[in-house]
Order: sequence, then C-alpha cells, then structure tokens
Amino acid sequence: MSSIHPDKVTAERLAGVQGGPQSPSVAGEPIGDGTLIEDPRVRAPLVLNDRSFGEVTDIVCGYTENKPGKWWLPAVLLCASVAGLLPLMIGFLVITGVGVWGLNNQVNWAWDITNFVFWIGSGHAGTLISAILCIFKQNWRTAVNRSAEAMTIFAVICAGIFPGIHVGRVWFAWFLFPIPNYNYIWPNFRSPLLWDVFAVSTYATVSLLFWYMGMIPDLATLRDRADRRLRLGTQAKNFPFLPFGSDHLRAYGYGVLSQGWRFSSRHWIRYETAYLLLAGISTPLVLSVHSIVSFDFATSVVPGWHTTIFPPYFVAGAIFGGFAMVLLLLIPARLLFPNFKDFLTLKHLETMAKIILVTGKMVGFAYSMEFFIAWYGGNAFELYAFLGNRVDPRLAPYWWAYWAMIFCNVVTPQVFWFRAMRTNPMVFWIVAAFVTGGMWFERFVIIVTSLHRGWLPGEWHMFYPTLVDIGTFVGSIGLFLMLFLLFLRFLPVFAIAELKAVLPQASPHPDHHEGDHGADDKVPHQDPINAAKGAH
Amino acid sequence: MSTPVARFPRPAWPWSRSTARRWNCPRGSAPACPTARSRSNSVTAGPRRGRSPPAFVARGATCERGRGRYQIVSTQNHWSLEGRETIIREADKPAWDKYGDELKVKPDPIYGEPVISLNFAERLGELSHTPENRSIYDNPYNTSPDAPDAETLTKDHLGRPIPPQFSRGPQWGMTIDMSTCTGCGVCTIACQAENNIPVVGKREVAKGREMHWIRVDRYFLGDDLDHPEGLAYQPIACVHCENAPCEVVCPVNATVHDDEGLNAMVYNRCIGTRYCSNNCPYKVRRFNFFDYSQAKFKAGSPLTEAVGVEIPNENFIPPRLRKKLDEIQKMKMNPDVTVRGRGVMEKCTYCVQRINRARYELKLQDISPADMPDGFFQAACQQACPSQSIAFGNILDETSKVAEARKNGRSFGLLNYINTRPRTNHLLRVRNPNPKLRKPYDEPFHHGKHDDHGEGHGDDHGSDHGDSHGGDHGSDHGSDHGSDHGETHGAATKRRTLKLPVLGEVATVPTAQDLLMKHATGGLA
Repeated sequence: MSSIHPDKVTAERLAGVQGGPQSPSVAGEPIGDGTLIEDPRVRAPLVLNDRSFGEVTDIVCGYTENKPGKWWLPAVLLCASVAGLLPLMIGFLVITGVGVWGLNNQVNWAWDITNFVFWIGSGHAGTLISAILCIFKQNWRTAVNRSAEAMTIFAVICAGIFPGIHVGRVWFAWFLFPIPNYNYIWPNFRSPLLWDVFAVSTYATVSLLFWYMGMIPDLATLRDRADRRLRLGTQAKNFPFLPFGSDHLRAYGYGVLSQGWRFSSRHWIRYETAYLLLAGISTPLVLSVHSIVSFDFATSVVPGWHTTIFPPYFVAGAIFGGFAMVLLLLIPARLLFPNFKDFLTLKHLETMAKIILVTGKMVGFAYSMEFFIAWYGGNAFELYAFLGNRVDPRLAPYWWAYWAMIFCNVVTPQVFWFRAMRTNPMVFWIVAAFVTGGMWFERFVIIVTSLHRGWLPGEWHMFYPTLVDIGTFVGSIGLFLMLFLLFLRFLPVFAIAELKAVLPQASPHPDHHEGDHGADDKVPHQDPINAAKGAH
Repeated sequence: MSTPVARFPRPAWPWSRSTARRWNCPRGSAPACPTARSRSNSVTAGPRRGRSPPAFVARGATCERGRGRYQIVSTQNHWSLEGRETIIREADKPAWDKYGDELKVKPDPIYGEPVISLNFAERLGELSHTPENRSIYDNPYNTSPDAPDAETLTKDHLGRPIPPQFSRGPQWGMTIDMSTCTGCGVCTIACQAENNIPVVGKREVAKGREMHWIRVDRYFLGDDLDHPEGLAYQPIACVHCENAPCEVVCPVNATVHDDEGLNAMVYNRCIGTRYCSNNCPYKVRRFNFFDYSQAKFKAGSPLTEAVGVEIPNENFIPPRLRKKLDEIQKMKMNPDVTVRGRGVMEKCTYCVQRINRARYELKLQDISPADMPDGFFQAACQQACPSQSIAFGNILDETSKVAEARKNGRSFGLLNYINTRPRTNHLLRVRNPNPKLRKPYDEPFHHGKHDDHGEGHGDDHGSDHGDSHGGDHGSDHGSDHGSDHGETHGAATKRRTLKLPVLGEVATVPTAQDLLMKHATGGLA
C-alpha cells in the first residue's frame, strides 16, 4: 500500500471510519492489557483496542460532552469547600499578622515556603513531559501531557499564593517588581527571592501559553462538534428557563478559546512550529526554575542550606515528586472515566514508574552526598546540621521528619524494580502517595530542621505549626484538586490531535509499520514508482 | 517542709492555652494555691500564731504536689554550647600571659604570600582555617590585594586592607569585653527603652518572638546541667557585618550598608520576607509578627480599656481611631526613634539616632563627624553597662577606646569564619582559675592535651579541627570530667595551704583550718 494511492483499508482508516491495525502478535501471552510486550523489537501500541481517529475524538470529547459520573459533582463540591478554607486563612493572616503561623525569630520560614517549593516542584513534571519528552520524540507522552501540563498550571497557581502571602506586608508585595516608583529604588537583583519572582512568573507564563496553545486544536474540535450538533438540531436540551443549552455555551465558549482555528494546513504548520518553540523554551525552564528556587537556600550561609548540590537535587526531586503527583491524579481517573485505560495504558504506567525510580535514586544519591560532604568537608556546623538537626534521634527533635522523608522517597520507590509492581496501578498509586508526602517532608526537613538550630546555640528554638498553617496548606490542596476536577470535566483531558498523530494509521510512511507487522494485512506491498510506471 | 517537693511542669507546647493558667495567691486563699503554701499569706485567717515576725519573714512554708501545668517561658533557652567553642572563646591567664601578644602571620594557602596576621583570640577559633577572602573581581565589598588601589589602601593592625569605602571616617565599631561582662542583661533593657522595643508578652516569648535587639546568650559549661562547672555569657546584637549576609538576600533592598559602616534597616521598604533573618548567622534580627508596638493582639491593651469593650481583633478598628485612643501610650516612647509596624524587620542600629544627634551637634560647631571626640555620645547599651564592657566609637580614630580595644589580642570577630567581617568584636574572656579547683590550661594551641576542659580549646590544626570540635568534644568532656573531678575533689578535702600568685609573687595563705588549729593551740600570731 502506498500513501499516495491508499488502499481501501488505509483510506478508511485515514478517514477515521475504521479501527487501526490489530495488536501485534507476540510470542507468548500478551501481558496485562496487551501493551506489556517482552519483545523489544515490538513497539507497544500506544492506544489500545485499535481505536480509529473518530473513536479517539469521540471518547475524549465525550468526557466533556457526556454527563460525568456520579462521583464528579460531590468531589468538586467537597474540594471547593476545602478550597474555601484558603481565602479564610489568608484573610485572617493578612488582617492579623504573620504571627498566626508558628514562625519565630529562629525559624522564619516553615510551612509557607515548604508549601511553595512543594507546589512549584510538583509542577515540573508536567513541563518535562510536555517539553522535554517532546524534544526527545517520546510519543508515549501524548497520553499524559495535557493532564500533566494542567497539573503544572494549577500547581503553579497554588505555589504562587505562598510567596505572596508569607510576606509581612502583603500590600507592599509590589515592591518586588522593578517598576518605577517615587522612592527611586530598584529591588535587589542580588537576592534569590527576586530571581524567584522572575523565574516563577516566567515559568507560569510559558507554561500557560504552552498549555493553552497546545489545546487550541482540541478546543476547536469541541467547538465544531457542538456546532455540528447545533446545526443538525441534535444539541443538548436548553437549560430551564433559558433560551440556550449547554451546546450553545460550548460552541460559544470553546469558539472563543479556539481563536478561529480552521484546521487548515497553514494553521497546522504554524501550530507545530510554535509548539516546538515553546517546547524549546520550556525545556531549560524545567532545569532553571527549580534551580533558582533552590538558590533561595543554596546561596544563604545557613548550615544545611549552603550546599552546591541543591540545584540538581531540587530539579531531580521536582521531577520525581511531579511524576508521582501526576499519577496520583490520573490513576483514579483511569478507573473513573470510561475508556481512559485505552489511552493511559499499563505501558505508560510502566515507563513512568521507571522515571520515578530513576529520579528517586538521584534524590537518594543527593541525600547521601549531602551528608557525606558535610562530614568529608570537615565543617562542624554543616555536619551538625545532619547529625544534630536531622539524623540522630537522640539529638534531633525532628528526626522523625527526616526518616519519614528517607522512607517515603528512597525506600518506597524501590518496589518499582519489580515489573509486577510497576504495572500494578494500585501499588503505583500507593507509592505515588508516599512519594508526594515524602517530597513535602523533604522540603520541610530542608527548611525547618536547618533553621531551628543555627550557628549560635543560644538562639535555637523549635517550630510548631498552628492551625492556620495547616489550614492554609489544606486549602491549597483543595484548590488544586478543585481546579483539576474542573479541568477533567470541561477541557480536553488528552491531547486529541497529538494522540491521533501517534496512532499507527497516522504514520505517513507506508513501510514504517508502527506496531503493525502486516500479519493481518492482506494487501501486498506495492512499489509506488514502478507501479506508476506500469511495471507490475 | 513536708514532702514531696513542688512539682515542675512538663514542657508544655507553647500555644496550649490550658497550660497558661494564671496563678494568684490572693490573701486568705492559701488553700486554693496548689503548689505552695505559706502560713504568712493567710493574714486574715485568724490571729497570728506564735511570734512570727511580720512582712519579710515567714515560717512554716510547705510544698505540696499540685495539679495541672504551668508554663514557664524564658528567652535564654539553650544551655549548651554544643562544642562550638569558636563562639565563646576563653583562655586561662597562663595561656594569655604566654601567647597573648603574639601575632601569627598567616600565609595564604592559595597564593602563598603572607596576608594577614592572627591575634591570640583569632588563633583560638576557626578563622585560622579559612582562606583569605580574595576575589579576582573588583568588588567594592571585597577588596583584595589585587584590586587597583590595593597598595594605597590602609591596613588595619592585623594587615587586613580596609575597603576603600570604609577608609574615611567616621566608621562606627564596637567591642564587647566578655571578661568584664557580668551577664546582668541591663544592656537589653537599656536598648529596649531607647529604641521603643515592644514587650511582646509571655505567649509570644514562648514562641520565640521576643524583640530584644541585644540579648545575652548564656551557656553552662560542663556536661551536667544540674552541676555546671561554670557559666559563659555573651551579649550579642547586630554586629553590622561589612559583608552582611542579610543585605545580599533582601529582595527589596530594605537592608543596606551605609558609608559609615552601619547596616541600615529601612523599615518603610521592608515587606517582611524574613530572608534576612534566616541568613543572619547571629540571629539578631527581630520580626514584628504582630502589631506589637501597639499591643494590638488579644486582651490587655490600653485600647480595650479605653473603649471599655473586649475587642476580639483590634486590627478591625480603623487606624485613625486607634491613634486617638493611644495618645497616652506615646508618652512612653523615645521620640527620636520610630515605632515599627507589623510585618517589618528590626534590629540593632548602633543607636543611629544618637549618632545623628551627635553629628548635628558637631555640625553646629562646624566640626566634621570624622573628628568626633571619643565618648562624645554613647550607645544605650554602652551607657547602661555597669562594668563598661562595651566600647563604641569611630574605629578609624586611633585614640578611641574602641580602636584600642580592637587592637587587643583578645579581640575576635564572632563567626568571622564565614567572612561576615563584623564591626562588633568580642573580647575573649580570660579566666584565672584557682589551681586547686582545676589546672589552668596554658597550651591552648596544642590539641590533644585534654588535661582540662571547658576553656581555651583552640588549636591551629588543619583539616581535622572542625571535625574534632563537633564530634569528639562531648565525649572528651565526659571522660576528662570524670577523671579530673575525682582528683581535685580529693585534693580539696586534704588540708593544704593555698598558693595564690599575688602580684607575681606567691604568697602562702593559711586555710581556715590552719587558723583554727593555731587558735586552738593558742599560737595565733
């Protein structure tokens, strides 16, 4: 078969009215859902059940068009009420003072900056999946990239709250920005906090652009489907007492958001170029943003903070924690949404488990190196930051936090050495939950245990969180989950266009059988040039 | 006294309100007071018994086990130096006599040439192990001999070049002499009075938010909290580092260095990120977690009394109305110093208001501030110190007390190891122990001779210095403590004449027992 003169089968496939080629036949039993193939010569199918283009579109658009499961509305309402805690706590904080948190003159940062670094770190996985894996041409990313980027956006929103509210005078937070003012004073460009301002705002902007721009073709799909239903008269019923229904809202809303996308080739060329450009811009951001966040600590003189390993350690930790959080959200979605498993297959889970294992080992290595260098470097203060602040239960009051971190981050991902564990979604979810908690503890350990015992023992003081600390964090979790649930309902969960592009029938190369070994294809291979010349 | 003894409370979580009960011993209600009873309190309960004298002496106090918990808060929370003897440096007099005036020239390990010299105090600490702070960049805050005008730069008495921006007077500096300091803490109170430092109250002190700009850190020496071998105290205020870690990290430039060497805290620019306080190794920065100065959180404020109604959160009262009701409060404040609002950081300013006043006075006389006579004004802590341990003034003025004190071999910069270059130097304490109590340590630079413990453990070893300080000292203290103590205790119980070096001569002073013996035998002469 040739792409210029496609045979009937291919023609139907390209038109989207027929399923894709059959799953590859493998030597032996297919494992799991059919994507866990032992033979390395065989590429696992990225989408199961031989979906055609039309089916992919129907399924993914169906998540927004059909009624969600019964679980969705209670979940959103619960998360929204938890998220409502956040403005209450913030209001109380801003009206009364930073003292409503448990901070003191020794431990000036605790939960506030822990939460900030936790959220901003969690967001990095999304950007890595979208940008770096795109540049590495890892096609399996298409199953997770949209949700992961969404998670990034929401995590950055939650992260950006904390530096804003943790300052003593929130109403002057605009001093941080280099805008002309009557005091004729610039902010201090030597300060890592200011670098944070630029890094995080750049990251938020670029991530938002990347996510939104990537969604435009899919939003246009949703728009066109709603529009077709309107034209054919099969639209959803009107709302009670209103002259329009949800399809009108969809057509209008998605129409505005898709900015006139016509699916023309010109649009597609520009889209691909812009996508690559944004991927290229986002790639260094993955490494630089969290490195700059780590500079908040690494450029200080505090023992336990002042180490050069922080930038790579934080970046690896961010990817580690971020992948865990993505899967913490998507594995339940696999169960709760129909046909989700066809797109997010066990192969995807396995690949991501391997990434979690690798980055987890990097993080474990960083922990051990920090400790080793503290000893090897002969700096008594730095060494005490480990022995006396963290490790030794006889000396360190926060030893439990350190060992919880070690267990959650270093020990639990080791189950992923075993294939059975990697491909078991329940195990994966449990490990992901541990890792997410462990990453919170990592930032807590770095910040609070280093600060509470500093250079001069006369000023050592413990930190205890208050209910406002806890409430603010819980509220931010609620906000994050609420936004993600709304995303699942109202925006395309998968990158439809990209997903279709990695289906085997989308491959432009006739000889390049993406997972199709032609076993069931009865049409013989044709040489297009010689065929055109008439030679048979 | 009846048994058992009064019960001490378990350490209570600071915010637990149930533990912070108020304890009154009102007259006549002695039975209601669970922990202590004193018969003298029950003045109204019947006629006075016996002939117990009124007012100041009472007999028959009892202690009983009480109920509940009572939280006690303190600002001097930590008792142990944790082996960090670079912070509090002490030497015994024999060591000081031997090595006090020596200046050890320290070759730069990187470039090889002799760079600075170390005095006695600095040889005892970790500064001796840090390389000279040289940079290939011409940074005005980091002058190196390779900087353009390196040859023309003046050098201080230790051979360190004075950065060009600090070479014109006046350059303010301070020394705190820990030998004469008694740890009384009046510097803290004087500073509080002078600078309108708010009193934050018990609940906030429990959380570690006391606002003292200068504090006296107190450490017990030895291993056993119940039987300490000595006491070390160190007053610490902002040392106005020339290379201040706080200045680098403030994102809004709210803490800057002025050209007279002061680290200036700009309250109106501060947005309260608190990074400066995190980065301050001395932890002298104080953050206004609440509106302490107006006492506007929870009960007990004059505002509540003025209005007559308990106001749950006084931040809801409009500011102008608040101000009206607080007129009287203003009268207790020093008008030369501002009152900081909520959310800003504050710290010792070297009494910049007094510096400025002095400058104005001199200007009226047309005298340059660089020519300010030493002692023309004093910082509040300096003024209040009863033993005059604090010297403050222009360090470029050769005749000033502070310049002289800085030249003293006992002077060191606290934590200068991290190259903060503090303007406040501490002078190490020289102890003159009675040889009968313990053997004075006269070789402070020879590590390994653990004949004695506690004081003067310095050395100029190489790489194992830091390691041994952190790790081994606890165990070394323990082992030496045991062996030494037995010995000296044994010696003290024997009848011996004491030998005191008085004015360089050894005088023999009879012990009390000798005198009694003489008296008993009638041989008192």
